[in-house]
Amino acid sequence: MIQKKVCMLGTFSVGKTSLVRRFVESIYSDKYHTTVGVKIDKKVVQLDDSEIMLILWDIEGTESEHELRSSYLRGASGYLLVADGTRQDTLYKALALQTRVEETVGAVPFLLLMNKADLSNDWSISEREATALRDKGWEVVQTSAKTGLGVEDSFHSLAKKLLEAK
Amino acid sequence: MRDLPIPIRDFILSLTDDMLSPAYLLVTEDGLLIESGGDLESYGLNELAKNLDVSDHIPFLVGVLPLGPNSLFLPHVQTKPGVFANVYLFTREEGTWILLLDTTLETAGRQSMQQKLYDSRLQVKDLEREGDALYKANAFLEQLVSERTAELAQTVRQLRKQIAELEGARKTPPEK
Repeated sequence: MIQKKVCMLGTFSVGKTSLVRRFVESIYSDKYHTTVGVKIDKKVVQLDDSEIMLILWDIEGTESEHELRSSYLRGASGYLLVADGTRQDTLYKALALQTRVEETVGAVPFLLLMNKADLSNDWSISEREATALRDKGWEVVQTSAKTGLGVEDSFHSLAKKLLEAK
Repeated sequence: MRDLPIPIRDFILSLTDDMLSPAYLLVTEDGLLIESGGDLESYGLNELAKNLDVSDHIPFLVGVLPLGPNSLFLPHVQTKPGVFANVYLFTREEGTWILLLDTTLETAGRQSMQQKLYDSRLQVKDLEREGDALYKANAFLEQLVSERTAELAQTVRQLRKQIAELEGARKTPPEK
């Protein structure tokens, strides 16, 4: 079976681990546990006429793109960039990370996930900003690890892109 | 360690063995296992037969091999639930060596400190957000108060004018 390494990237407490747990185990916990280093999970994604095993690297969140260890990115076929929709600065940090990642691994497929969509009252990222990124060709998805909104679809969409890029 | 006397070197080796549970794999450029050893079981790496493609059995090696002439350091990799290792990869004539050294205790210590740091950052963020909300609510209230004050002043002016008119009318004697 085809195996592809996918990195979960974003600053701290945006919900990278929760998204992986939701996707792999269908579990969600409100309690925040910071990740140190990297946790690796895998899940087979069934697409129309093929299947692919995603090796998910849940990499510890950093405060700036400079703190990200490039060794973790080696061999990544794609990545999910995660921002917290209730903290606008996490979007800007995700954008800076994207530049850094592209410099390191090249232009591999990725999606931008604006997580915590269940907290709509605290939402602080404007539709204008999301539209500007979509206009650049980015796939921007609102997700909620808590409710599951957009989670499965995002991983499937990335898996599809990985197969197309193969 | 060239300058160190043998007892010291032995002690360091013994300490490393006790504290870091070293384990290793030697693989070909294509990732086929040549040999393995050390405390692999503590990392959840069992049943590794010769010529096995390690990428098929060890998720953290997917995409990493072939390494080429470089070396690679992957710190704090969770190899099984609750177990973390520093993973070093380097290539020599005989193949690519993959060395695992246990870092579970250090990772737990870092996790605890990092948790406190990030929790406090999030609290600061929440306080800033609450502060912003209070500032906006206060500005809104001040605007309301100034509007009401202006309305009251206008009402007072009108009332005074009416009183003055009434008093003026009362003082003026009726025409005969």
